[in-house]
Amino acid sequence: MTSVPYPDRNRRRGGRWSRQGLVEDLVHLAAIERAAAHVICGWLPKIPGLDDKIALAVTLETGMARAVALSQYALKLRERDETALLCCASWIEPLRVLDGSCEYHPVVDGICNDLNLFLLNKYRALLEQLDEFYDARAILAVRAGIEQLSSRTPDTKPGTSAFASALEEAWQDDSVPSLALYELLWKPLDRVPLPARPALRPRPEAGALALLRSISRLEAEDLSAELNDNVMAELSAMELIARCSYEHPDLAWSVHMSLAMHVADEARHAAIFRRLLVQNGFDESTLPQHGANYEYAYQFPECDPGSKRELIWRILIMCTVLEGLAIDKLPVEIATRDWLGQHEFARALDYIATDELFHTENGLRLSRKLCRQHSYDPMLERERVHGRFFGRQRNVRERYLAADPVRAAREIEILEGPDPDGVPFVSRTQVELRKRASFTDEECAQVDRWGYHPDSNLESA
Amino acid sequence: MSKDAVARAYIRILNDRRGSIQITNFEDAELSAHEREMLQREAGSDSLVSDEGPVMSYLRGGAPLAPRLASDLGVVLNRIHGLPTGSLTEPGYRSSSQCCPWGHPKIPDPHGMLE
Repeated sequence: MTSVPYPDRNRRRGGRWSRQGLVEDLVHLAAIERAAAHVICGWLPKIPGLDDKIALAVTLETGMARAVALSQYALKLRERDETALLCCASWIEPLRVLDGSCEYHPVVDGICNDLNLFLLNKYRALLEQLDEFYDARAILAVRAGIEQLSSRTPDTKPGTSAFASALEEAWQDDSVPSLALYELLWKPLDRVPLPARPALRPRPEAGALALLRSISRLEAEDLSAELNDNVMAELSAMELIARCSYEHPDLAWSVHMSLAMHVADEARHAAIFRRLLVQNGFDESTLPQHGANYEYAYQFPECDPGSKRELIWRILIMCTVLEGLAIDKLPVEIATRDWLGQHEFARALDYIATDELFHTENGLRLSRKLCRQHSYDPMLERERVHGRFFGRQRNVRERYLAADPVRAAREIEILEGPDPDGVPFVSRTQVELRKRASFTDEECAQVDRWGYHPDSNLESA
Repeated sequence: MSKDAVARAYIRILNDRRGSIQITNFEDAELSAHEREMLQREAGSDSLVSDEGPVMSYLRGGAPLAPRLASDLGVVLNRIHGLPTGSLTEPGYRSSSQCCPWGHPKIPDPHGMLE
């Protein structure tokens, strides 16, 4: 029997799918969403205003989730052929230009206003043309997108900025797509060793402890310092994880998605502590601004800038060391705040503590995978980066102490003195919690050997 | 398992860098002739410990080391580079929950911070 070629389904009357150009539009929108997430990740540490910084960060997770959902739906319609997900560089050119901006205002306005409105209109137009049964899954993503974007977009008039016009112009581009969707992004345009903080706000002296507790936690001065320091720590984590995504666009989209979730968590944590500052009547603008955890975890003399080893070290120190220590120490801190009657503070910490399990689990998964791919040993590299990270802090602190022996003696007396509130709780390596986040016994033993807890429950070195 | 034996021998060499005992005899039966030769060269070298040196490059390939061994190797490398091998507990640092509720000190160095 002679084999007869099948009819070309793409030439079916009315098109193969519910509407002409459906896959192309899905890929087009996914490319824009992914590129926007790339710009956000690159810019987060460069934006000084905390409101702007957090506003931009909270859009990241939902935008990246839409990029993933749309690309997955397009991939399904292409019968899982990734090479068939093609796009044009011109589609995301306005975002690449925006990324190269010298000022942060156009970036914040462009993403939070112009792009939001542009996407909102495109999603509304797309929704009208989808079939309720055939495209049910895409409808879910598009409806969620409309809801998310409309809640953040003040009006529905088209934007008039050059960026808004460029987005519309790029949308009309009918060039033949030839670039793979997953390889579309541009390489990082810069390095950002120090994060930006609001101008005119005080900076701590280099080497001063961000928090030196000499009075009760119930005193306003101590509470404001503690809450503010927590804001700075959350922002630092948010900014570092964002740069991990931006500086490594070659990672799988699933990795960028998990990093976006982490970034959004940290932004929310910073917002929680800022809300507590306001609720307690503190003026944030008088409180010192720093980025301690970012500045020590961004780059290392042992790692080539932009290398995968540098990425591994960042993830190891931030997600598996610092956030691991948070798992151990937060139960003490929560107990302390409850014990002192600061229940709102305790509740905030309780919520945040549950996120730390995801952050460490995610960091462990990613660092193990990267170590496997690039022939590094996670235990060895974690040991190395732990030494480098705290070695740099020690050196800065040493200079500070040596500069003023009287001040040093005063601070040491405070540090060596009794707890101002007589808090009876002590920390330990939270083996059970850590294991739920996929730490191994050996990794728990490693942190125990570092000696952060007076009540170690594992072997010591 | 030979890689673990190389790591153990390398830790001895690195520890020796801090003392005066010249290690020249690698008796571990698990070591191959090639591994012995590589370790001998490293032991006799005056160069600073490098992550790119032959032994570290060799250890980096293939399966990971036994976890405790990997950790011990990291500790000795940090010690040689003058880096901390545990929490900062010297006077003036302190990692207790009193001043470091999240488990570690935060010591900013904000010079040149962008605005």
